[in-house]
Amino acid sequence: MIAGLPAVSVNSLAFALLAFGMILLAWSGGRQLFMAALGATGVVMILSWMSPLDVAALALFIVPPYVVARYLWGKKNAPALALLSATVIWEVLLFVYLRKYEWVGEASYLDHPVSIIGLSYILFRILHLVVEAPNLGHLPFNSLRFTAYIFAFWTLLSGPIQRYEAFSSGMDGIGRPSDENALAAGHRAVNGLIKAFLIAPIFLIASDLSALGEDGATWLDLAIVVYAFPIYLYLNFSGYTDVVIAVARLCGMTTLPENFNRPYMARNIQDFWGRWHMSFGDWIRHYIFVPLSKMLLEKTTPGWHGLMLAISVIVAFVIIGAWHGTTSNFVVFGLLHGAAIIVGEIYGRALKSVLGRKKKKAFERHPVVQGTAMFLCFNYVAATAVLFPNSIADITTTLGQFLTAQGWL
Amino acid sequence: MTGKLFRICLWGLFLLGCAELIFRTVIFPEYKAMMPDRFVQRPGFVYGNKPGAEIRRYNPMNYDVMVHTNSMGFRGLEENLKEELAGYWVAGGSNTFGAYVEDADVFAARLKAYGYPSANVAVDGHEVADQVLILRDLIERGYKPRGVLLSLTALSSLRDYSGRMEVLTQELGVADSAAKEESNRPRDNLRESSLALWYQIPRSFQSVRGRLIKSSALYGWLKVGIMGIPALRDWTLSTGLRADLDLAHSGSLDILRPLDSNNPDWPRITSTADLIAMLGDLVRDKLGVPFGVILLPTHHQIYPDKFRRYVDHNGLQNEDLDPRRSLLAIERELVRRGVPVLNTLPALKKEATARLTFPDDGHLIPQGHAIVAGAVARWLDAGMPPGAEGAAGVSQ
Repeated sequence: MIAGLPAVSVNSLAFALLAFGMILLAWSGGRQLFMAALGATGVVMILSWMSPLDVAALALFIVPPYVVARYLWGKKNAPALALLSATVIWEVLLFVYLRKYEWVGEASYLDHPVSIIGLSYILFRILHLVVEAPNLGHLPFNSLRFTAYIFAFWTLLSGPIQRYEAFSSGMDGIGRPSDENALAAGHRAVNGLIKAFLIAPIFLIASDLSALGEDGATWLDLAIVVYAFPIYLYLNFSGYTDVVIAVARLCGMTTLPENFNRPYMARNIQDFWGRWHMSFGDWIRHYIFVPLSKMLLEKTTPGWHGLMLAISVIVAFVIIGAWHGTTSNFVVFGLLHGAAIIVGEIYGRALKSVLGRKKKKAFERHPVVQGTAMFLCFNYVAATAVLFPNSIADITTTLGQFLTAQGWL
Repeated sequence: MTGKLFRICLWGLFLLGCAELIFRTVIFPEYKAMMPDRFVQRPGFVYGNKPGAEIRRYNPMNYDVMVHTNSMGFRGLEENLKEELAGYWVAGGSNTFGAYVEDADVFAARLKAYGYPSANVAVDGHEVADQVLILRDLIERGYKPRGVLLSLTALSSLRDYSGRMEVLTQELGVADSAAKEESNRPRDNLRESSLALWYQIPRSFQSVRGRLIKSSALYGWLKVGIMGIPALRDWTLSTGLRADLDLAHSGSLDILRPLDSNNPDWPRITSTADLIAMLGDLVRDKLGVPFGVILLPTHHQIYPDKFRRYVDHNGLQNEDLDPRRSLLAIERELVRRGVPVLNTLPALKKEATARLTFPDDGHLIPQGHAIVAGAVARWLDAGMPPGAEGAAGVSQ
């Protein structure tokens, strides 16, 4: 929308300039302007992507929750359930509509950018803010802080999802980091750029499923296709996260949460979701799984608790799947991961009843068991991640052709 | 101290980045055209021009030129394609394609004004053997012209083609489809994408410059801007920041020495002539239309004083060197094989009081193309006599 300015993505010159500008501002005497500048840079990024109609749609998404949050700010005893529920429903419905989920049809009068400039991350921040507004009265809140929090350029496109408390305390620390910390952050930013934009694309190209249909494709090629995409996903996403966390740290903001903790070393799917996209996992746990399971457990007798927990897991993972993409593939992805957690839980309980708590722990600590668990978990994640870039029809067709060529069908 | 240095570096990068962004968005948004991707792998054999391209090109003396290709990847506009394909086909390399001149200024396009509409099937960087494949492809696809003209820039088009004669008979498309099968399996994709990253790493000063010109509006603007100011142009030349074309000669010196069977470069003359003669036979057999060759000289051949600068600069005064020998030799060998030839050197020399070639790369400028077009039209009017406008006065 800004004439001549190309869309600002993390690997663009414009993003680098925004980052350098904000770092220099944080280091200079003008740091009192930092909050306003943070909001302004986010707005510049948004305007670089969007048409006026998209901006109008975004305003519908942003303004009502701001008004509600402002009204509820610090009012712990206000009767706000109806207002909160209406706001959450409005936001979720508008989100589903703007993101063009396949089951709601096309919002054809809108250009696409409104759905891809991190709308889902904005949604998380907004819901968090509205739901927690009554409890956050001890923190300052106004339109400038709201804009800076929602549109902060470092988390605008792909997170991590920062809580308002962490944002506020991080803003208090804006300034120049120590030389040591600045160098470490610079190092991390460069590493992130290399991971996300130099190495990751190699694996993206290699993950092309249709290439399995080529003459001469072997099991090695199948392995490359299956493993290449999760490797790409990790390098790209964690590289991006490294860049934004490093930029924030160079500005003195040290409270951006980490998103990854060696996820492919996880020993089961539950462990995996504690290491992969951690700020997202925390949000889902805090705002979906815990309240839902608490409500279901309270309303049922202990004999049903196992089933209620399983339902809570499935609901949480359907939401996780749907959040990742707009097609039914992603729901299937979520269901498969939810199912794996339930199976893992049943297996854990069975193991415990057979071996007892102490022997179970010792068994799970055995290096061979740990290695096997990691191998199985990674392969399960890799196999389910095939659903990300490919439709189920494409997967079945291509795999059918491949297995026929190998003489298996 | 470290902190201060760090901050100075940050400020430097920030200001440089701001300047780059301003140049990209406001001052020189056409920077991407400095080194655009212009080529595609043509189905079947060699690379060709990107079809339907509209590309800006810059070269000192002729800035901001638009280069168009039609849906077949040939130089010119789509609306003229049918008429041009039914006229003369003009094959050749960069000089014939006219990389830095407007569509209408290229000599093949100018022929229309003389009553000879022509399809410019040349491709920047193509050798004669590559153009043989382009012409064969057109023939096999059933097109029929009034005549076929192959344009050669001596020296660069003169190669030893003795190992490439199969281009006259090889099945079109075989090599390409085999390569495609090889490169599409996941393991090949992985290898190729890894190698692509490896090849992205610049390995020489020249490749750094190449990368800069592709990606930096500031660098591109400086380069074009400086070259556009005569005093700065001269300064970059005198200080060695820019190569002096007069002082360069690509390839061996043998091609400048007396050319006979004892000269190591003699096969370049004879094999080029052999390949062209066989191409002429093929054109006459398959199409039944006339075939001829247009010889385009290099700037050393047009301007002997510039060649003398080269000789003096390199201390070659005692050598018996003459850049026009190759021109005369290829003309003579082609005539000997019955191929009609037009040597455009005399026509260009007659009007070479002004500059006829680009200062930095030696290709013909629009005035040069205009003279060539006139000479070719007169030659066609005369029925393509062999050895027309020969390079008289050149020692053998």
